[in-house]
Amino acid sequence: MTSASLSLTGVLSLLRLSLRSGWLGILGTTLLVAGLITAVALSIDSLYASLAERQQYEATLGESPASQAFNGRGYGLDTIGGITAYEVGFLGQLLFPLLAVHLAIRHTRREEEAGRTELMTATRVGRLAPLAAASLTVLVTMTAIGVLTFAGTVWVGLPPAGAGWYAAGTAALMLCFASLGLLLGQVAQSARTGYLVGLAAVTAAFLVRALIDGSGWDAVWASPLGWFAEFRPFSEPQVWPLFAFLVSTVVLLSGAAVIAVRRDLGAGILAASAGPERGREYLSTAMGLSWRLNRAMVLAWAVTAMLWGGVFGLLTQEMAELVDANPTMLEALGVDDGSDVVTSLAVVVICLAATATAVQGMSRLISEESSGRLGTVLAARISRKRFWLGWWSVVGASAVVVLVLGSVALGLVTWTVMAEPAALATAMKVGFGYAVPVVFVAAVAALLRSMGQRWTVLGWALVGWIATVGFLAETLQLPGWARDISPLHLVGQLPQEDINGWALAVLAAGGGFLLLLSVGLMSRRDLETG
Amino acid sequence: MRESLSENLVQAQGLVKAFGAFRALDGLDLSVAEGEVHGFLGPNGAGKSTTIRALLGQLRLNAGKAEVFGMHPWKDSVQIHGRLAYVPGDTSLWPGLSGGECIDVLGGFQGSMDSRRRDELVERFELDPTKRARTYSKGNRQKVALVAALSCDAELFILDEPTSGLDPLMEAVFQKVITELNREGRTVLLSSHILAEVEALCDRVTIIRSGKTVSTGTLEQLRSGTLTTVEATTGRRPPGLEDIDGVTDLRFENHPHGVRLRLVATHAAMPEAVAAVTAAAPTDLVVRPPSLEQLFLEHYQDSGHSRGGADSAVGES
Repeated sequence: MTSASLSLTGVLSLLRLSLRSGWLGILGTTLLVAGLITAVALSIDSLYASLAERQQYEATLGESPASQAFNGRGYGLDTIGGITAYEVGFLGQLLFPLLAVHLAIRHTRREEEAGRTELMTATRVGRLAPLAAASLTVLVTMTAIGVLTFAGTVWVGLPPAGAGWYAAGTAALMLCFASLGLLLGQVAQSARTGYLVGLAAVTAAFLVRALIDGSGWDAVWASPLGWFAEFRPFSEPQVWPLFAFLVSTVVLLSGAAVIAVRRDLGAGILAASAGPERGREYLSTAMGLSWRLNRAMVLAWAVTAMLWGGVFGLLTQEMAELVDANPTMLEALGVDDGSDVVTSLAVVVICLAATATAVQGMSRLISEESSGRLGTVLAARISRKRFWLGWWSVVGASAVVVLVLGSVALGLVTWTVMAEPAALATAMKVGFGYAVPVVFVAAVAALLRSMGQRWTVLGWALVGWIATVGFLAETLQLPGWARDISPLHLVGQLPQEDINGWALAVLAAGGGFLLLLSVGLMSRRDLETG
Repeated sequence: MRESLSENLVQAQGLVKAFGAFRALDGLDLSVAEGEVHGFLGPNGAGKSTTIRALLGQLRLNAGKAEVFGMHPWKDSVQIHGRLAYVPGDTSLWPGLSGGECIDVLGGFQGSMDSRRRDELVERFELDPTKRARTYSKGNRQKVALVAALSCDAELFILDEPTSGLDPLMEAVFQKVITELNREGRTVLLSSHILAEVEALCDRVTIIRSGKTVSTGTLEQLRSGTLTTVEATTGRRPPGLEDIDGVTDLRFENHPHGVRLRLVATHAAMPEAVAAVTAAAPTDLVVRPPSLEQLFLEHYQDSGHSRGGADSAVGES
């Protein structure tokens, strides 16, 4: 059919263009994924060099339902590769799909939103070509990730067959979620909506899997993240997950193509509704505007934090029984009470949601400034200092609210499941203990934002580091000073350890200082646009 | 306090702003008197927006002296902003907010928005305020910014290419609103590329190029430095035209009914030249001052053959 072939006209030049304009993101994604896996493998190789050590690991951490809830099921845990796959589990299952969704939306809806797709499709470019070029870009990236992961793990010394399966599995997982991103890029009218729906989908997939694996139910098929572990690359490799991912990819891509052929350029399925004719008065204050522009994002993170808290609250009992009955495991995990392990891990995740709220709230000012909207607002009678402090205080308070809501959900569910009211108090204590570090991260984000656009991304690096220290500090054998860069770690691993009062004082003072510094910088520099 | 210092609401001398090695402003002068509509003209990249951003205290100047209401644009920005309203040239709005919300956010931050006037302007500009900003076209985004600024009770309006994207009907509404504001004694600094708009609205204009002021004055003054073309058909050759100072390019052509003549005269020589032609009983007479377009083209072009008083400011070549 000629019209079908014509609708792909120009796909190769579009592919070249997107590789050229997006190479940094593609390279960064590739290196991050392959680098993380290789680093974990390298570290496991030295941590668990002997078979006896690995068997010990298999009998403790491998059996623990909390670990399985976070990491997914472990297979071949008496091999370096098996432990590596298990340890990459938690971070990888969240990070890899999110990176894939982000890459896909970045190359579709973001381009369209910026008006570049409109420019391109006005030339000799077919209707399906932008989507096809984005799909090819994704495919190129995933292939690179597979190849590099394979090379890295084989270099560490993992068996090539297992490494091959694992690398292929990672690429297939990411390809599937990238296809979801491509579909969202067609469905959502704004890239932001697409990212939020993608985040919700990944969270849901993770929590479903965590509930299934943590409870030991026989339902690995229920979540695509459950399929990932079922590759069993380092014990008896299975092919069905690969088919499952590829079939899902084809289904999602077909859906995207059907929508792409039919819809208007610039439109989506989730369209904008009509809005109020007048603005409320509170909108014309720095705090009001900050809340109005950030509230959807705050709500999304609050729901995420509460879901995490709730689901892990549900798992507490199984976990506590198993750990309490097994003194060697208590010792291996370094706790007195089995429920503390779950609380501790769940609170780290809740803190990640809270710090992400802080960083995203300050990052929002990037587009405000580069679009000139900040300049227009500051051309009115509000000083930069007042605007900045008003905006920041809403962002900081939102982050603390996310933390508190997550902790309350965790505490309440744990209380219900364990029939132990003290659980709520424990969860709240941990939540409040981490409030100062969370606010500190918000202050860091403010300082980075005040330094200019390019610096703001470093705030995400801090959030990423908190996650790394929270979940992989032992695995990667990070030195003490590196762990202390995470303000959470500086305060102590709650609830097992006591709160370090000095650290709290230092973080509070440091945060105040950084905030003041950001105010000073912001009131001195040129605005970038506007 | 304002009256005692000067009657210029905006007073800028020798403004310099460098972005790295590039000098966006290179000794620019600008003064806007109270109660006037002042046109601010120049080719793309001449430094109009940079000047405006400096006046709004969004950029720090490297050199030069700028005052708005007699105050320092960077240090006293908030006091200054309370008395002015601003429309950016390429308005970006919050995509998730409705047009009406955007108007109220901007007007609310400015602080002096009159809500009756706001509703009136929404109506006059035929804006649907319930639509989300992301669905607006460029012209509609511009209307939002215009309504927000023009419904404020400000003494000075700084408009940076405010009508880009507006249709001719809305352009007419805009000109009417500005004329009304000006009659109330409000001052307007209008940066624009639409020469008809400038001609209709502005009392004085400043033309800049490559970050320098090329010329400033009333449109009359700008014209005075230029040459007027006179064409006529007369029964006989008018005597003495050759002797008038400032008449050049004199040409005669024989015609079945007399003589066809064409000459170019300076502003000063024009009355005498026209009188001489009239004395020869012309059957037709055309006096053509340079169009605004020609005037600006002359000032914009790199070689900048600006005749008259502004020569000193003309740069290279």
